[in-house]
Amino acid sequence: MGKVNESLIEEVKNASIKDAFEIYSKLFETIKSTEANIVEVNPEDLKPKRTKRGSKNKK
Amino acid sequence: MTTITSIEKLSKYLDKIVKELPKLRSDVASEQVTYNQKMEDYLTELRNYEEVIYEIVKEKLAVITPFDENPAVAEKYEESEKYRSILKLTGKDEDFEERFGFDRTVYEIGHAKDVDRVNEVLKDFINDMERIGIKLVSSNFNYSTFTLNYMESFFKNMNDPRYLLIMKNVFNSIYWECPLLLTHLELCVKNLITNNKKVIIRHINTLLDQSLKEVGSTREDIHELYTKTRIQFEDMRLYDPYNLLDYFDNNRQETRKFYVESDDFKNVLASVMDPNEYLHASRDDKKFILKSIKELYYDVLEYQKVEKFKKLFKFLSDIYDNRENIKDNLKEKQKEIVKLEKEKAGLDRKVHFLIRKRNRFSIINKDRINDINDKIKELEGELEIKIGEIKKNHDELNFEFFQNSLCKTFNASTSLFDASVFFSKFYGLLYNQVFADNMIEREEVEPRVDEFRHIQYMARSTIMKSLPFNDTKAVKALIEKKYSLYNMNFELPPIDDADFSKFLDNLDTLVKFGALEENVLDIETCDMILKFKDYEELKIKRIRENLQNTEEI
Repeated sequence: MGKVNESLIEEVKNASIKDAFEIYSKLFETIKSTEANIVEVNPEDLKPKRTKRGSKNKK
Repeated sequence: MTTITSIEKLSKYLDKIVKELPKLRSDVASEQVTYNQKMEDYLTELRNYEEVIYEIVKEKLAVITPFDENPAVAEKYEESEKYRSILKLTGKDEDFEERFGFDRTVYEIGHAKDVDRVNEVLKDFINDMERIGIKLVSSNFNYSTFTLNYMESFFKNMNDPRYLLIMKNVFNSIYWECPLLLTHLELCVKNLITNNKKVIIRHINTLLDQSLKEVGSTREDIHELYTKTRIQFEDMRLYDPYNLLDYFDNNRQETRKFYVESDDFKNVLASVMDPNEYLHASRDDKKFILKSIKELYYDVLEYQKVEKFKKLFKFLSDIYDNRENIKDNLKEKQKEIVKLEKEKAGLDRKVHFLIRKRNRFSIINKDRINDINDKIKELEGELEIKIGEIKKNHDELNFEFFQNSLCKTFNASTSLFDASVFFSKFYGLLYNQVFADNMIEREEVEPRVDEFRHIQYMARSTIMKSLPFNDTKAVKALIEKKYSLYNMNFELPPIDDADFSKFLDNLDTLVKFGALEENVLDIETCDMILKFKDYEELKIKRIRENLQNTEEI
């Protein structure tokens, strides 16, 4: 609760049901879209790739 | 953390996030990680808002959401059902079998589709008679050796939890000796009812008077009281906000038809009238139109009933038209049955005498026993023929009584409603006629018969109470004409046509629309409540999934 601005809470509380629901609906849908937009990353792709030159150097 | 101090700012912030969502495609994994981190940050922040605003919206919606049907609806239903049960008891003394449901008992025993049903009906009959004050024992079922044997086993086992199975075996063992066992039982029960006629009538009348006193009504007023209460119940159920919301919840696709400006609404309305006429009407005129549509809906339901049972009305009409040729042979028929019953009793006594005689001979006198057995067989054959004759005469008497009563009761202005009340008193005949008219399976006959017999309890039956029983065709024309006077122009399709179902569905929608127009709820609110319900379900699903993931880790 503390992380949300008090004046916003007050405004939602005082808003009509329609307005309060509208913003809630928008919020919910944005969360849904944001969740859906998280890209799945393969941990293997994050490891530094060995280049040809690198491998030569190691040798 | 962005400081958002108003709904407007939050809304703009959400627009910004949505704009950022279509991530530029990148094959570089490290960039994807950075992007994901940003999304996760957004999500943490948005979920904080969501949690807080969810509680506020929930609280606000709780004030306007109906969570259950108003208990007054169920109370009104109970009240109307109480009046209906009293209404069932009303009628003339001569209709005592129907008033107590014994007409159905007799018919079901003779025509049951399985042995279990016969036994259930017999058990109910024994219990009903006991309630009346007539305690039956097996010797009361001494109509024939077979009914006596059967009922001796029945009384011995009727309180055993496996009595249906036991009696099935008993039935099997007797059936091969007496294939007409059901007819024997039917006639036996019919005789028991007729022989106790006075006691049964007295019981029904006492019960009726007590019940009427309890509810403060009279034999003359109970029908009106029932009708009034039933209509009140139907309206209360229709207008109940919970029921409307529940309807939309179960028919989510239907809500679009309830937005006045939508094409869906206009299409629905177009099935009865020009939508523009409604849309441009004054507030009072709109109210009147919706009230008329509600009346039309109930009129169409009556039309559907009349059409569904038009062959039954035709059957009654044919008898009525032939009334000059129908003679009153009831007394002769009754005398004939008494004579046949006496002959049957004589044959039965002979059989019993021979059985007792047979039991006296020891097994050594085999030849003598064989002679007696042959004689018993011969007499039993004669008994079967006699019982068949009695049954035939009973059926004829029943039909003649039906015809004679019809000719005495009916006149040219007898209404469709009164005609259905009349026919409902003759369960067996009605059953056979429904079967003959429709060529349907026996299983389908019973619900149809019940539906026909229910017409007398239809609270809204203005048309059927006004129109004569022999003019079913007039119903369609009258409805169409009446509503054309209100600028509602339509043609009622035949009831088996798909267009009829569609027409009725549209009327149903418009009746619900009318109910919504006079309700604390409107369609936007209903939609909002249902959408919020979906969000809650998704939230719960997400919480469950998170819990599951945590447990797996």
